[in-house]
Amino acid sequence: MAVAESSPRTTESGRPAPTPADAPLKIVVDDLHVVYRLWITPPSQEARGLSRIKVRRPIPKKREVRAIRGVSFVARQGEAIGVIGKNGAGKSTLMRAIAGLLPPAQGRVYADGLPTLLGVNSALVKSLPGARNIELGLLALGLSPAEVAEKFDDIVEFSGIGDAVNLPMRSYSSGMGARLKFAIASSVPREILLIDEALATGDGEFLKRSAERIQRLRDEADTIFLVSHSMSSVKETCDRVIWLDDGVIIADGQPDDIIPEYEARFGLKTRKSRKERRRKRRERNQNASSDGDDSGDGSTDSERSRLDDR
Amino acid sequence: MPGSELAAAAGLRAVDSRPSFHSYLVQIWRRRAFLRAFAGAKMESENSKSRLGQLWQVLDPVFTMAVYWFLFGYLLGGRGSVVNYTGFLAAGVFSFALIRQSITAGSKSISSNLGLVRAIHFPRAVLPLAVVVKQLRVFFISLPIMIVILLITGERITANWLLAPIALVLMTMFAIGMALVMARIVAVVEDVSDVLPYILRIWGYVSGVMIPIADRLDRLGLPPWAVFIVEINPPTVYLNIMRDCLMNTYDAPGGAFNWIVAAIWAVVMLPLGLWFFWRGEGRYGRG
Repeated sequence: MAVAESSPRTTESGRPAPTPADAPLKIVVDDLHVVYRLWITPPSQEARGLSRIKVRRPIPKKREVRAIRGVSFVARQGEAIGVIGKNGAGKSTLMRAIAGLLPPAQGRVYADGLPTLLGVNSALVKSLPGARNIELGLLALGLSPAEVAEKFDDIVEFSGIGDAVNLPMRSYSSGMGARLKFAIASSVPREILLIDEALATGDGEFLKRSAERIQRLRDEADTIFLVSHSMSSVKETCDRVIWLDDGVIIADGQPDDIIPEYEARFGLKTRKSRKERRRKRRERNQNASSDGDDSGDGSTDSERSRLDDR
Repeated sequence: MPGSELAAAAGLRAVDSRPSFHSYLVQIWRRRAFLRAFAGAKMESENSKSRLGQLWQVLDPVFTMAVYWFLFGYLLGGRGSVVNYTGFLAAGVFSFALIRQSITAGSKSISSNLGLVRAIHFPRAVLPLAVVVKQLRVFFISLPIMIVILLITGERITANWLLAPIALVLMTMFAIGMALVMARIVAVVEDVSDVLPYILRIWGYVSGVMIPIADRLDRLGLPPWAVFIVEINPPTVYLNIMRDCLMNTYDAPGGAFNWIVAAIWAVVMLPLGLWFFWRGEGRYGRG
């Protein structure tokens, strides 16, 4: 599939271009498909020797999960693109594929240089202390031992994990682990940045610090992608939004156009929908008290299916 | 305009494109600090897993030796086949342990580090290389045990011992090549790592880890070409040159010929492994 088929939609969507349409291309995603191959009975790592053969007897069936099913778009210099969608919509997979860390089954991703993925879901070596993971992560990113030594204290301080840096990472709470990973990954500025749910972790104070750092990284980077469930941070940071659902793009355009629609569909936490739910609950209670149980349940179901149909 | 042309016009490159072989090697060299740190980290993490940790890997050849000595030396009467059977077994088992553990651990180096592979860009060949470096460190820790066994059983330190480091280098080059090849194969077909231990064990049996294999084959009346294949198969020649270096009570059949074959295997297998692994770069990390 040619990118041209879908890219006009993005550029002609009437965006009051914060990024001119003729800015240099930074990323071209061309009909991207990503497939995870799974075996329904996963191999048991514990089984050894003969028992391993026995465990394997019923041959596990191969199953393919098509996480990204034909995504095409282009990104230009200076764009900050928010990627939104439900859990399992393929957002993280898309980020990994753009970063070149997850090979596509079909189609390709082209970029100006290697995009850097700033993920908090990426596991390093869990059995090792945080300090060793900082060292390993930075060395893997290509820093020299001297640069690692230079950045080390900053990273520990930024992550705010304190003395826990000498404990194995498997003893960390998920928030601590995520903070450390974010601190490692965000310590190296890059041109094309992919930020995956980094804002969703940590306590209030850390959130503020990481938001500041993301803002700084954004200023330094040419093009940035931000995966987030927080519509306010997407609105704040991004001038374009891509809405993914079930591995395909269902909308691509300005945040002002897309976010309200998205929130109306999924954003149950918005004030409007909270009010809506409260009203429904009241109605249901009234129905229940006047007519009895059955009609109350019935109305809930029909409300729910009407919501889903939208 | 198709995406590929659009990208080419803007001067963009595919993110999963493979660097040239030469620049790949340069990239690996640049990550040598990471390689060292990763090898050290793997040792450390094993130490934190169980009470004796790393010691189990060091003790592995000791236990293997004990089992072989009882089965093949004592029960089946292999003791009579060479002057110093215990020394023969020590040199064989400890050396083959390096080859075996390098290949086993190397084969899983991609599949067991997917988290890292999917998080950060680096030349993936660093992982199998680091694993072999780690096994080499384990070998050096267990080396004194082997030397003590050899000396107790009556071997003398001779000038030939000076050749042992060269034999070790050749053996390690071969092991690295094999680890790289198996790492790519297992990254694609993970099941291979389950079959591998059996294949390696059988490979050890036919390579003369616990009996002088060539003598035995001659006596069985196998055709000369079959004997020849066993004699030039890599573990056989590496065990032969190791024993020639370390034992003055045993002369491996073949003599200097073994050294030539050992060098050929090393010089062929290392570049072949690197090349084979490099061919798959950009595809590692696929779920």
